[in-house]
Amino acid sequence: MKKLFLLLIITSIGFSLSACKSEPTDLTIWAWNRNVDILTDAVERYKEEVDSSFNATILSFSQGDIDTKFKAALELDNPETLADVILVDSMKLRGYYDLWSELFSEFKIKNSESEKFVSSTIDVATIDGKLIAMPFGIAPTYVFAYKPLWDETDIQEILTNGWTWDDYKTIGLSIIAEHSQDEVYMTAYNMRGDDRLYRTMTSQKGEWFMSENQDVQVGNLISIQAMSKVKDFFDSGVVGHIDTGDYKSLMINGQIAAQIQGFFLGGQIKSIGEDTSGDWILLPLPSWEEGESSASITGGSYLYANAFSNQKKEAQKFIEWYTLNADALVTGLEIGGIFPALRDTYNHEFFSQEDPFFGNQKYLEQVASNIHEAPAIFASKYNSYNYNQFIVGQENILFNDFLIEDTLDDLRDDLQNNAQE
Amino acid sequence: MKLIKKLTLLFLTIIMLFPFVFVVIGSTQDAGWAFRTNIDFKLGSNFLENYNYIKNHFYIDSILINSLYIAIITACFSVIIVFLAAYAFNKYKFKFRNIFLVVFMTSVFIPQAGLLVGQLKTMVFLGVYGTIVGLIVPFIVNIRVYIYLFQVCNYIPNDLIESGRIDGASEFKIMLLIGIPCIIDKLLFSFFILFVGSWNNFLIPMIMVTKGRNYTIPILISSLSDPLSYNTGSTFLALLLSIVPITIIFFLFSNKVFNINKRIV
Amino acid sequence: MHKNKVFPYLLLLPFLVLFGLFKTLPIIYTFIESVVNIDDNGIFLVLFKNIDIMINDNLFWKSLTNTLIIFLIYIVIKFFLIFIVSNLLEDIKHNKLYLLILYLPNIIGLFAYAIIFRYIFTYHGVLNNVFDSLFGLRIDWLGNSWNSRVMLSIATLWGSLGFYTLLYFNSLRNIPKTYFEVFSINGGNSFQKLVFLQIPLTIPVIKTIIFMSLIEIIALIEIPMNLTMGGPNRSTITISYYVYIQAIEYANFSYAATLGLMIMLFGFLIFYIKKPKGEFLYEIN
Repeated sequence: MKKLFLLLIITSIGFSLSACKSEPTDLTIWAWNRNVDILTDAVERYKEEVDSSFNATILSFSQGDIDTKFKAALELDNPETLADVILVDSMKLRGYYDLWSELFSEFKIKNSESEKFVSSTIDVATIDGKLIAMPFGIAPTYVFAYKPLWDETDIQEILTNGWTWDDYKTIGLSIIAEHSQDEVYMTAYNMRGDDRLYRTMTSQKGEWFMSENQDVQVGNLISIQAMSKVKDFFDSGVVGHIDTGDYKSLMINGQIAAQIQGFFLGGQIKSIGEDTSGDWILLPLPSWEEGESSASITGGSYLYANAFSNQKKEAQKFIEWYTLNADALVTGLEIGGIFPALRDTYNHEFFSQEDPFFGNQKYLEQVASNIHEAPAIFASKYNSYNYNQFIVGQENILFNDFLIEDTLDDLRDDLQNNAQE
Repeated sequence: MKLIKKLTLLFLTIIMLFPFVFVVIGSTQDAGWAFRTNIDFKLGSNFLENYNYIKNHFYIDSILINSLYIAIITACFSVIIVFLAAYAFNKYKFKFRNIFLVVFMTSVFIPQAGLLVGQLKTMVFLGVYGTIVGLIVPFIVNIRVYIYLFQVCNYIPNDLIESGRIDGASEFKIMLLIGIPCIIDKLLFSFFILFVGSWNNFLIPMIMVTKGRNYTIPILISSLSDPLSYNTGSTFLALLLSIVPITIIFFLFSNKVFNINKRIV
Repeated sequence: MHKNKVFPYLLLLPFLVLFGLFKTLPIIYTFIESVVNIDDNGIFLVLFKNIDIMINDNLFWKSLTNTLIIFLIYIVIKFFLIFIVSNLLEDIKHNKLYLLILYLPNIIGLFAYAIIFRYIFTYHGVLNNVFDSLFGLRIDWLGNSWNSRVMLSIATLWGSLGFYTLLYFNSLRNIPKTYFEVFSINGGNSFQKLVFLQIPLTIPVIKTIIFMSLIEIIALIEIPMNLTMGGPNRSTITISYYVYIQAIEYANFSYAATLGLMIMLFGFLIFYIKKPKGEFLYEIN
């Protein structure tokens, strides 16, 4: 018994000592999913093309976990536990800056360089005149149309002349009527938990929950109009309510005619629904009025450098080099399906390829064509709260017959009070 | 009647095993398998592909060894220390006994999220934040196992202890030679529970880990189940990697541990 | 009970030291966190502000109610299954093997269950797809508040039923067989045997199971977070999940600390529930 004790103690000490063996202090990068592959390729290129002594380790954590680690480091005030380079979702960036501005090292790049990015991405990352993160990828919102459910003439019409939300409803109703035997939707989300449709509409007008100055935008005219449209679509059956994550199953089974999602959905569907190749086509969003721009960006990601790291300069150099390097970014698109924020990439020949998955559509060109028109939308540190409160309001309006204007008014007061505390 | 009993039990056990079957099949299938409406429960051919994905993105051998090592050490120290305390509380009266008991019982109620920052601050204060000690020592005090062992000590007959005392043995010898053998199977069971608890421990290890080689299995699983990921096959495989070692240990232990009391006639 | 001066303290020492360091210290930090806010400008008392927020926080009270409701559903289904399975296992030959298999799901861990169940129990998930192709019907497992709560309980039960059944079954074995035989001879049917004989004789283990279940449900977070995400209508936000939302999502650490302590106080009150005869329900014996 005592010998066992002793053995255990010795092995534990031994192990902890060995764990303390000094490993080469690599630069650490945190990213999720496919971004890990993209950044691995980026690190190798940087090593080849710029600095052969550069070494970086990329750790894969889920988005939620990186968020938890950030909040823990915030509360414990130990930024050394955070990586040197961290990927962050565009909707969290400003919130993080509000909570911990010292963490973000400033990127001092020339105007000529910042202009190379889609302007809304730079707007979101520029706070108090400082650029605090470099745009890595963006998620323009698009319509993933499942061709077998559509009338080919409609598709051609939309590709040439665009369409409005009214057209969206008309076409949706006719598609559903044609397939009334099956469970078919024009678009489907978890309407009790996802604000995506509302957000798509308001983002086309440059709004979401709060403006850049944290003025609440819920309850104003655009908000009411967008919500009325959502309710209209929902009540008429054009937009269906499904459980979270079920859109994947429904899409590859051909039950959703026009799913509206961020660009990454393309990559996801390619992975999951290989046998539906060729049945898809990418359509632009409907616009509010005829002739108006329909572009919307509802997501994206940034790389920022930990200002407390003792490899801050190297980290920044790497980030700047990568996010401004068109070739590297295009490879990233190829590997990981992340749409670059650097406009130079759109001239790359990769963008003019025809994708058989989308019926030989030059879908990258398509997406790149009006992306610069998309207005910036902002998310403050209250965004989590705003989101959670908003979807309760949406749920009440859609499922419990609450009045739109009253609910949105109450929401506005709620969000405003919360932001003032 | 017996046949109906057997069939119901069979039905229940099949339901219980369904998640396992699902994970096993899923780990051999491609990314879209779980989403097809005409899903078929057959083994697929993507196991190697899924495994290679994990191998290329994570230090899978380190991860398995870490989880194993941490779980064994935690369970060893924990079962000993918790048993000593449970025995002491069950068989002895001493000052502050009741107060301690109430404090122990109450401490379980506080939700981990509320306590999280406090736990992390404690670890920083004690200098164990981010070290392997920090993954083991804080988890040695396991109140649920304590409650279980506290109740289990009731199975150690007090008369046996008394007779040991009459024979002049020291308290320590009594505990070692009379107490422990009475409930050795329950102690092994507790070891197993503690092992599993440490194996599946996620939140604090995830927050503290800063190197790829120091991941534990739950961190691997969480990383692969990011909502936007499309490697569903690899997610299932990671779950399988978590489940298989414990299942093996479980069946190895089951003879010693799963002692059903004999029916008293 | 033996009155010994030194030995019990020696036994307890490592446990108490570790408990003091790793359970009490965090609680002290949490208490400080909820009472004062220390930053560059000085020390501010925030306790009263936090309590004020808590009293007016509808979602907090709703999450308490949710937790209580889920607990009750959980207990009912759990005991229902425990009684059935225990009695089924009574005279079956390979009951050890069945118990083994029932216990097996316990080792997976709740986080893994949440992920697995997310694939299985959504309306267009695996189970419904199978049902649809076999019987042409789909069940709305997670679609409304009550269904979701029941599914939460079932998901939690999946992993814990084996453990509790083992506990109960062992306790049942300590009742002499003759008791049951006498009861049947005197004309009692199975249901009466259960309620008037079996339950009273197994009260201690039933109390333990209820106590441990309460701890389980109060701590329940992985399944609501990953399976139902708190919906529909916020009916599955448990108290632990809500504290997590405040602490991690909203970064309101001070307020989350207050909520955590408040829940600990509620738990503390359980030991003051008295039975009709005036004894405490949970005796420390």
